[in-house]
Amino acid sequence: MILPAMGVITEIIPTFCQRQIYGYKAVAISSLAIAGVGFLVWGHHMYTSGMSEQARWFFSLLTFIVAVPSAIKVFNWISTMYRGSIDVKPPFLYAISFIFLFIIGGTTGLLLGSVATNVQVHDTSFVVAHFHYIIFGGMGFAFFAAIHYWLPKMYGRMYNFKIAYIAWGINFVGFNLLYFPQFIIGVEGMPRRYFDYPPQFQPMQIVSSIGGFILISGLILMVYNLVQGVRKGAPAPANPWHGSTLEWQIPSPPSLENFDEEPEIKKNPYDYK
Amino acid sequence: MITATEKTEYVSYLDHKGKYKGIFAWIFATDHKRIGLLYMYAIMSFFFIGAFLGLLMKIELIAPGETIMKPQTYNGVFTLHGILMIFMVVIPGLSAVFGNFFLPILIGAKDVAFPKLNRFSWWIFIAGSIMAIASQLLKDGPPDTGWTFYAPYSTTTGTNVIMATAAAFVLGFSSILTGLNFIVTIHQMRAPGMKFFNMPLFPWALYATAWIQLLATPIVGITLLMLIA
Repeated sequence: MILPAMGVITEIIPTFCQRQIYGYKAVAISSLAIAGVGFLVWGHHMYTSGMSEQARWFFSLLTFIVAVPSAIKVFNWISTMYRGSIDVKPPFLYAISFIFLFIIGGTTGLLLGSVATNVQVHDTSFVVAHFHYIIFGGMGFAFFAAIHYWLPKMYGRMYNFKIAYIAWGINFVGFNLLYFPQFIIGVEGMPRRYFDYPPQFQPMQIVSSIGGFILISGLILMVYNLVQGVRKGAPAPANPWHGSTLEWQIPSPPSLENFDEEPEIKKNPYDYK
Repeated sequence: MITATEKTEYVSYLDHKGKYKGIFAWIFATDHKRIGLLYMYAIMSFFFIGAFLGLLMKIELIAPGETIMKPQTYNGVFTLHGILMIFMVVIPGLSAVFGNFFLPILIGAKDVAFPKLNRFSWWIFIAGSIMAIASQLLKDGPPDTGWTFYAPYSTTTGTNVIMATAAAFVLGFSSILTGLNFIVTIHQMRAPGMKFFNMPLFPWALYATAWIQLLATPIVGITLLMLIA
């Protein structure tokens, strides 16, 4: 379910760099590739449950193949940013932290996809950390990026930027404090889903718990800011980010049937200025 | 371009007066934008419940041994955290909220292909969520298997696993129908002149996801049924 998150990031990055996305077709087709190969990797959850040597080899290979289209997307996002005139607004901050966290989650995913290292860290908090980097750092941060990006369009009002920056900082620090220590104690052998553990893991567990408190306070601040924005924020213009896709051509918030006249379609999807 | 100031009779979807009033204007809405917002309110609520459960786990893990809860409670907490966050937040997440809201706009359409089916998907989503919460309250106690419901433990534990898997099964229908709706929307509802390669990339990602939702969710559903059988 990371695909729509990638889609959101692909919309946000070019808008705030004032550039066209680099390699449109590569990004489009890599989405289909991830979906296609994604059907075939379920076996990588079961290396230790007694599947045959050939099956393990095969599922491991397929899991590595998923990394290729994902890396194509990351490469395209970074190439889009290269030499763009970057405008650091809250949605863009969430989008680049998505890329950062997704790279950490993705590379640790390769460690897990390889049979040899997987057997070592199977069912440890290493898996928990990897999973949260992909799902929360990926999908969650993309969700926050999308809310910050599209909220002015959805409600026709803008949130406070200053609080949004602070909340982003708290979220980012809290997130890494919460999940990064779990990589370390996971490699050392802390199992997941255990309520108890030997005392040598305690320092890292405390760091992780402190991160949890920081993260949740950041999330509460972020949502408070968004709700305040919806309730009594300044009216947002139709195109606050100078975006070049179709949704910014209609008023904020849109009318019931979106377009009062048939929109004129252009060859390039990022030419609506 | 049409802006609010140029067209005086302009009414936004938030101010539009329909057949129903008050809260019914929302839960009986077929407008993709309102349905997107309905999903967003539900998902954000579940997200904060799930995050709170995560915080409880972190408090428990702050010291070795029993800190604030019994081992069985801990098992229930991480299972509910997983069920909420995966089936009710992450899977619908972006595609149901922002997909519903922006997919038709990005391809120049008025709405999704089947607006009533879209409303029905949201109702199923809420029904499944109520079932998931019910699995915590029934007399055998909250499930303790983790959100993955791995057999063989999930077939032998005495807790409400069946209710929880049934909830995931029902939530799956919501995803399948949303996926179906998006595929038909992208094929049939693009504005005249827009080809596949003239679509922005967010619809592309939604298109790929919709195929997964349509084809893979039934398989997950069937494996969940095998647990019950």
